Amino acid sequence: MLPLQVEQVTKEYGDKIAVNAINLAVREGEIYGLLGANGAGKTTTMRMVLGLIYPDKGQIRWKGQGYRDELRALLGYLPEERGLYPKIKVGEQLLYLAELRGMGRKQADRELKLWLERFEVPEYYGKRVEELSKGNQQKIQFIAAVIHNPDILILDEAFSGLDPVNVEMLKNMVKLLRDAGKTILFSSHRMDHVEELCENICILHQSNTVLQGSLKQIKASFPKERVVLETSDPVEGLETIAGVSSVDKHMNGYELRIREPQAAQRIVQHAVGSGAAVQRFQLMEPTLNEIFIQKVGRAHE
Amino acid sequence: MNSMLTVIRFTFLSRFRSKSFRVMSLILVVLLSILINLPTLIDKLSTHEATGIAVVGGGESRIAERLEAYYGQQEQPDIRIVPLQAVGGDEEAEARQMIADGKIKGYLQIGAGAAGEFPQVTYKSEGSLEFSLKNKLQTALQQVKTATVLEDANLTAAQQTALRTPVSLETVQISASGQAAGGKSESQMVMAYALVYALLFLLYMGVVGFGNMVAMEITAEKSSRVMELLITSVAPLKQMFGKIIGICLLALVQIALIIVVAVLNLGLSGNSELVQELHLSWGDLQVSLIVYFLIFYLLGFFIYATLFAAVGSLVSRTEEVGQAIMPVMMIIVAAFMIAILGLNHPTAGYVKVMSFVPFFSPLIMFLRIGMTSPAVWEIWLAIALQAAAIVGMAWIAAKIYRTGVLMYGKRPSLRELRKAMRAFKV
Repeated sequence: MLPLQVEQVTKEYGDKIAVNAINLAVREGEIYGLLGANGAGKTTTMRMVLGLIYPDKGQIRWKGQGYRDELRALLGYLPEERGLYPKIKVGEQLLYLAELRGMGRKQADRELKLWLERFEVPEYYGKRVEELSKGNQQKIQFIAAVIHNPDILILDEAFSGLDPVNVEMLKNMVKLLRDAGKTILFSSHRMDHVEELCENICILHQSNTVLQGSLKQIKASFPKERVVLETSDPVEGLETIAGVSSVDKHMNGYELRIREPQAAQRIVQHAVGSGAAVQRFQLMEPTLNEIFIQKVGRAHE
Repeated sequence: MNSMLTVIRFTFLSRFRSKSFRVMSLILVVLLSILINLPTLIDKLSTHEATGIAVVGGGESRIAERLEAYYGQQEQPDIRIVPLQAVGGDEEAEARQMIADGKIKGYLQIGAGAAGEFPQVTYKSEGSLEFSLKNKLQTALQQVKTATVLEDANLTAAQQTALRTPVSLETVQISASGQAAGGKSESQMVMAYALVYALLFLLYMGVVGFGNMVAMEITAEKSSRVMELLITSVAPLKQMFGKIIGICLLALVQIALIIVVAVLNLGLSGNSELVQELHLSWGDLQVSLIVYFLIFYLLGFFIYATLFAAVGSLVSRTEEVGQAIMPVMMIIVAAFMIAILGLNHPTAGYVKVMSFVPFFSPLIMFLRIGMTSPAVWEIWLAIALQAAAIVGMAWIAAKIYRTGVLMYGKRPSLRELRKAMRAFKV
């Protein structure tokens, strides 16, 4: 029994289909990446997973069962559009949100202090949200999503608008939660984050699932089209090799695109044959970024 | 239920602790205190010296003498007659000079009257619209005239006194159907009028002010996007009613504050004069009226608050709230206008009809209870109708709210809203 299962879920707004027959399942201790361009249906999917709107077709199972009221305590949500009460003190409103999720006030207070400690900002307890910087508001928002110790977490664009230091900090927190056995549905536009965190992904495009599965398998199924070549001396005539579609010259080497795997061998032979010492030769896996752009198209980002 | 209590507490406390609520309450207390003490203050500040007035002309009718005698009899006359020096000369020029010198405020010019008739009298002064002074002079002149006529009639002193005694007319309000609790005496009616007037204002202000607050709070939650978190944490219905009840408690606190301040101020020694002048006595205060006030205050608050909540949930930005709640405000203003008009015609047909119409009945049925004695079944029918309307409104508002809080962007039209409701399956 998986903590979160979405089966053949379809949602229509009037005559417009927002989500078309999406399937996904998330294990305990897994971060599942839900990717898609803006308007692809991610938010609608997340809202359905949160139980805010009901699917038209298909079903969602939380821990094997349909929607029930106690789910509110079970689910944690970090919305894409960040929002807290600007004029109310951090402590006050986080305790309120925790209480709404069915947590005792004292326990919530303990948890809150613990989390503030983890983020190294215990002094924010008595500050109003409007006094904090955007990055720090984000930390508070994150705490609001996890303070009640939910089993299922929905993180929509968790790291947007943060500086690299804070991104690392938040990423570590997410990993910590994953290792603690939480079930995490994660969406991001930053493919490097997805590659780092997610085992399985699902790419939505205009309400349809265009690509789904384990990230490793997806990457393996895409041909390796990129070759990185670094040599001591310049190599001439790389573009004339059969199967090479383009050559980019970088500061200390070349990046080539190839149409067929055999072309890679020909490149090494050509480089060695030219007399220059090969310092690096690598047949690169496609990045998720490339896969995403290929699947969804440039026009949508 | 538990989470609703949490919402109620949070709404109430965060508003109660806010600076704006404290400042508002302070302003209210100060304003109310000033307003209640205003007559006393004016009384204290104004001089009690009698207004000086001269009399020009009319030598034969001896009006000046008689007026002087009339005011001489009074213990504390408002007016005193200032004699002119140049009798027979240019009296009017002298009177004008006296006004310029500040010795008198104005003068009476006695015209020529036919023999045996009271002459035409004109009051001339620099001021305008001095109604109270005119009234006082009229009364005095009437007395002078009566005295003049009576002098010629050879009546006994007893007869003269009998003539002068004013007629006693008392009004008692009764219940024709006999079903109501009973009539009201005149002083009770005065008390009721004052109380109904004050409470109508309080009801109106409360519903408008706190209803607005409901809409504002909800839109603010939407625009700051806390709503996204809230709707995943607590059922929308609980959240909406928690909010409404929280603000309702806030409103009740303010009412309690107003009543305490009003009673304290009226109780202060300086004000007992005002209380007496208005023929108000606490004994005439009907407790039932206060109870009805609370009932109708709550009924009025809840029906408008649900409406405000629904409207507030549809708007994404706080700047647009004012415009969006305009139609709701119109209904309240209409109800208030009818109530104020009805204050002087509480038995009119339209008042009776309106007192049963939901949205209007809180103000107008309350007015009828205060000013007339509607049958008990009428009161309870109005309350039942209003309560039913609240349930209906709450049902609709909850649906709109459930949909509205998820919709961002421009304010949806009715058609878009219906479509969204179908899509969200609410």
